Amino acid sequence: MPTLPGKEALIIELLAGAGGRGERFGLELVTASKGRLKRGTVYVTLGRMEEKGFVTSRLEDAPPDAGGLPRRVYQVTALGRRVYEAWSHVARLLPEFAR
Amino acid sequence: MTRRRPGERLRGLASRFCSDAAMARLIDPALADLQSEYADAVRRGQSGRRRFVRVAGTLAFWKVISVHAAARAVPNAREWAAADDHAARRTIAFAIRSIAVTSLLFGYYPLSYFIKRDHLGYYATVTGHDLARLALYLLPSALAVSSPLGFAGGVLFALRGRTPTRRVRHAVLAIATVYSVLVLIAVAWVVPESNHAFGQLAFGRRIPRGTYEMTLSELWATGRWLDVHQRLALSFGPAILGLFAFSVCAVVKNRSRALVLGLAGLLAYATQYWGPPAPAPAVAQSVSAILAAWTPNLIFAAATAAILKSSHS
Repeated sequence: MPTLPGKEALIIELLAGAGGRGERFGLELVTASKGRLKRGTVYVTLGRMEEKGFVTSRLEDAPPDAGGLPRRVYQVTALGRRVYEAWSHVARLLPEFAR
Repeated sequence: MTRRRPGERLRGLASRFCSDAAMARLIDPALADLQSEYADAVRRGQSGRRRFVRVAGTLAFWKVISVHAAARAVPNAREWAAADDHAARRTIAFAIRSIAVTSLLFGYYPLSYFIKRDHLGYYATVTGHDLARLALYLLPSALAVSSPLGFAGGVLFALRGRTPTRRVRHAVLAIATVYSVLVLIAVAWVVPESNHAFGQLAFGRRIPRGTYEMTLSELWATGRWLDVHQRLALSFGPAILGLFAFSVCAVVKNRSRALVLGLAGLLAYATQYWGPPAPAPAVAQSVSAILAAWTPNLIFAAATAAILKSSHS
């Protein structure tokens, strides 16, 4: 059964609420989380979530003159959404101390 | 001259140690975000922000590397311990038990001085609190002295009657190296302090530091070369005896015979180190201090090499 730690749930929440584009860079997630996600751990968490199939990623289409490494953008998958919905449902049913 | 982008050097460093998957999923996204944020700060002419991004991005890079390394270390250690029918795990488990038993044997004699018996039974000549402190002060020297024999005993019990592979040999060597470093730290700095504390508590007064209470650097400074080399040689004990025990297990396939031969060897080593001391003038006249201290190790290293060579031929 897939598990959903708090940070992974937060990332899905942020990706799901990303607006029309529906995808975000790692650093955008850090900024949007208002300090709850850290630069140093967000990529490891995203990598783990990708292995579990909760998010998917692709390299951005950078303009040819941009130079540097292409950035990786992340998007929540259907499985990630379903797990998040199930997790939110259970979290609502559980009393505060058991969450 | 073209200026390097921030993170290029870090990327080069990471690519030497990380897999392609780790580079693609962890390192490159972190550095790409760093470069993009840095370029943005340059475009806006924010020099303070530019410096902050560089520092924060570099710290984030090292955090990614550490978290990734820690996450990889646990399954790697499990895999390493489980290889060859759990040989490494078994060796460590047996070594810990052997070291505990030999430490108790080494620690019992000095402590027994404080425990007497009369017609009512056993009693301690010091308070229970002091007896516990004395046992604590004895622990470092008991562990340091028992580690070489205990570790080799652990290897013998764990590997006898099995066919040790190259991986097991590397595991034994790695564990032996760790034990040797710990013994060196103990005999150089920890044991002298604990010996001194033990002596002061046992005699109930301040006592001057003798040879056994001097650190390695103090022995060195006062030119007590025999003691310096004895301590250094003792720290090599786990490695030398561990490999000796490994070589016996590799050659002698009968479990009982391997155990008897190995234990006989360890007993011979212990007798050379902790047996009746040779008269000092004889030591001074016949052999140098260095040779006297290293002789047991040299004999056992030569024996190990001969055994391993015979197994190859």
